[in-house]
Amino acid sequence: MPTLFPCHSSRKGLFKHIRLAVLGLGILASQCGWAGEAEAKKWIDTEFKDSTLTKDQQMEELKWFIKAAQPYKGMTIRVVSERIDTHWYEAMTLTKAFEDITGIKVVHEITGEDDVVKKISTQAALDYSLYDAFINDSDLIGTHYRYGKVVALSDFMVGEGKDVTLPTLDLDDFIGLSFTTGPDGKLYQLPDQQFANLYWYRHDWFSRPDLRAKFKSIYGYELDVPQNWSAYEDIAEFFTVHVKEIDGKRVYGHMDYGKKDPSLGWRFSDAWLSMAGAGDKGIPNGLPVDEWGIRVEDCHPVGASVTRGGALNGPAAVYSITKFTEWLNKYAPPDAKAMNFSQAGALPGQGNIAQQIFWYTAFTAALTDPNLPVTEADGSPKWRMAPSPRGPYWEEGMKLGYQDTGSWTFLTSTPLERRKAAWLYAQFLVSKTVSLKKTLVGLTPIRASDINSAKMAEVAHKYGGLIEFYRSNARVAWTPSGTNVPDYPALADLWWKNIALAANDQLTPQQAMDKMAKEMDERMQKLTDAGKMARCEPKLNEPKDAAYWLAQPGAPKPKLANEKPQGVTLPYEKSLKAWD
Amino acid sequence: MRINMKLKTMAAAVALTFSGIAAAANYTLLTEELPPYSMKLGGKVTGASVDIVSELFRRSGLSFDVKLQPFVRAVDSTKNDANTCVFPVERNQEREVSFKWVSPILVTHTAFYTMNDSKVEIRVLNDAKKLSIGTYTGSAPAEYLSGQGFEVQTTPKDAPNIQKLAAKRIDVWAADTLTAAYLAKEAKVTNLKERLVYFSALRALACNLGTDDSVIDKLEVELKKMYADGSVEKILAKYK
Repeated sequence: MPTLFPCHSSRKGLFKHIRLAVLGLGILASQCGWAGEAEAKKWIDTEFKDSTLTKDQQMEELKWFIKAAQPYKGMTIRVVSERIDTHWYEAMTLTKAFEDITGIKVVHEITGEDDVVKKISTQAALDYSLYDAFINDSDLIGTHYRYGKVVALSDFMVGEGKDVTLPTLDLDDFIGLSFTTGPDGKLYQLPDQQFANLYWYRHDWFSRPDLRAKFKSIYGYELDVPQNWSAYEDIAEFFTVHVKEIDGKRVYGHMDYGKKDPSLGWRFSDAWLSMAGAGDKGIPNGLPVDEWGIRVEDCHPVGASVTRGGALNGPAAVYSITKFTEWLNKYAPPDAKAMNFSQAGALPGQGNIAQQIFWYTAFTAALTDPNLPVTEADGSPKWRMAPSPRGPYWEEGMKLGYQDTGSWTFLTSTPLERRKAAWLYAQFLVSKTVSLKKTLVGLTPIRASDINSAKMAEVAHKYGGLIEFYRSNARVAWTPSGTNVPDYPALADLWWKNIALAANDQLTPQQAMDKMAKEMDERMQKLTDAGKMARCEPKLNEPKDAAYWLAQPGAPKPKLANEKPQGVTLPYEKSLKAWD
Repeated sequence: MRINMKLKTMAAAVALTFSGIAAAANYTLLTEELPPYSMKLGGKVTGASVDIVSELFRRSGLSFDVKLQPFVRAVDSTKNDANTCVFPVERNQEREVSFKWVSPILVTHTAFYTMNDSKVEIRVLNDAKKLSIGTYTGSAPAEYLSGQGFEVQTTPKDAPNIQKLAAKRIDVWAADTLTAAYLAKEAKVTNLKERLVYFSALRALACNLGTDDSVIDKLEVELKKMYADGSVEKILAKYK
């Protein structure tokens, strides 16, 4: 473990340190607080110029960090997160700021999200210490709540972590706390970054009078932002089948991927069924049936199969998989079927995709590169993002898409002193001193104050609708997986393993979802049999005739007579305001 | 009595069937030479990961042989041959679909090393980006750093990197922490300095897809016990 001396990190600080050294170590130690303040000022004046706080308020906040961190000075802590721009900024820049200001060194590792999940699962299962904290997607909230291995932050902040909890943390300012709260009302994770999955399209093509006229002549309505899956399908067909070429280049009305690979699972576990309308009403996830099709009664999952009251193999879920395979086969580029998430992610930027129903806003910064054919020379986008269209089973009051919420997560097995030092780092990364700058770098907002800031208004035009989405009420209907999912790591592979069978025509969508629902129930039973959950373990319903459940109100919903109602579109500006 | 006889006959047949399976299923466990994780000493394959996996199979009551094989060949053999596993393997998205997994048999750490008198400053991973980094071909550090856009100079074996570092032909050596300590000791180099442990990885046992789920479950249960009773730490300590 290297010895730290934060006073050394600027020439001025070093000079001061040498001068004081002759006076004795006791004085030197107390004067390090001064050096921390000098470092804090340096960081405020350089890196953290964009903040919703005044400079004085920033300095007050950082003084609190300097004081609270005193007992942990010289400590090295280890944390891990997934590989996105926001976390690179944290790992390469903010760790240095934190060390300079507090004297706590942080090794912030970056890896794939699947590896983060494996690492936190391993540490929780084996009680084998790897990391002091994790930035883990809040999709695991149901897992963390049930196993009792994750620290309830609500308790920690007023209990053993009270002396290291930032007075200006301002939890009410966070936009994603409902995603990280357990059924008991306690906060288990603290959001560090959020991004959504929205509709993406080529605004420049949609604005062309010739294409607009052609679309209207074929489909009878305007070529604008699709509000339902019928319109999305019509637009997909329009570009792939009728337009075919723009400026001499083959174009497609849809982009997706279908390779048998773990990344195929995200395409579905990240709320695809809810977009079709498979679950129940209720924000953030639908109750009693969520977007995974899992029914919960009194916090206990009781089944995913329709025969047990779930909706994973119900008509709405099967419809959503049918449309996925149909659009992939008919409207996407021919090689899309053999691509995984990373390969497919690059395609919209290459300039031959007209729209994509399922697009992660984490790609925003990457798609503003002025060298791309989808941006103007000044980097302003030719594309826009907008709230996603909804399937025919969707009803008012339901969630309509996915939001990724990478959140600070602490295990109870981490020694208290290390946990406290890591909690200080976590809060530094989301503090108002830092968060606006971090949001500008990574475009993954977590605070309402940042989203509503003058600085955000000034730069909003660069990001194709991202800021507008986060300023609208829509942001609460785009949510991560929720508390119905009892053990995310133990169940998630069922998505890619089964959907791949439908994507590659080995099973029909109904057969694939029947198989998956059966396996989901079996796995949930296995989780209960293992006896490791501290609370709210699955208690499967006895199977009943599917007709019984389909006749009950809400999910699982019976098959609609007409799954393709009239297509509806809205002009871009109106589509952004549709949720207000 | 007749019923009793029938039950006895059935019991004998069941016992015979199980012993038949156990006798038939001898597992071939493949690993590349990577001291001190796996190496040949006195004609015997040994090392930290070999000892962990061998103990795991012994505790699970499974018959096995450990063989050294180049990594790429070992991975291919495991994909194609029944009752075959390869270790230690980083479990990632690309490989996930090709094997059945038992994890983690090891947690490894990679770090940047310099000589004691080096003036380079490495506070975070990217600080090394402007430096000349040495590692060995196909290694975990090489894979990770290349994946992050770092340029690395590779050698077929890791040991020469210590000499390259001493001769200032590279600024830093990126290496596994256990391997670095082992190679430094072998080379009698005492002025090596660990600058930043920048990544930890879970290493798994990857088995042929035809491996019975009950075998994988059994291995996982026993592996958990080995962590819980300190056996894994004890084996690793022998090689630190």
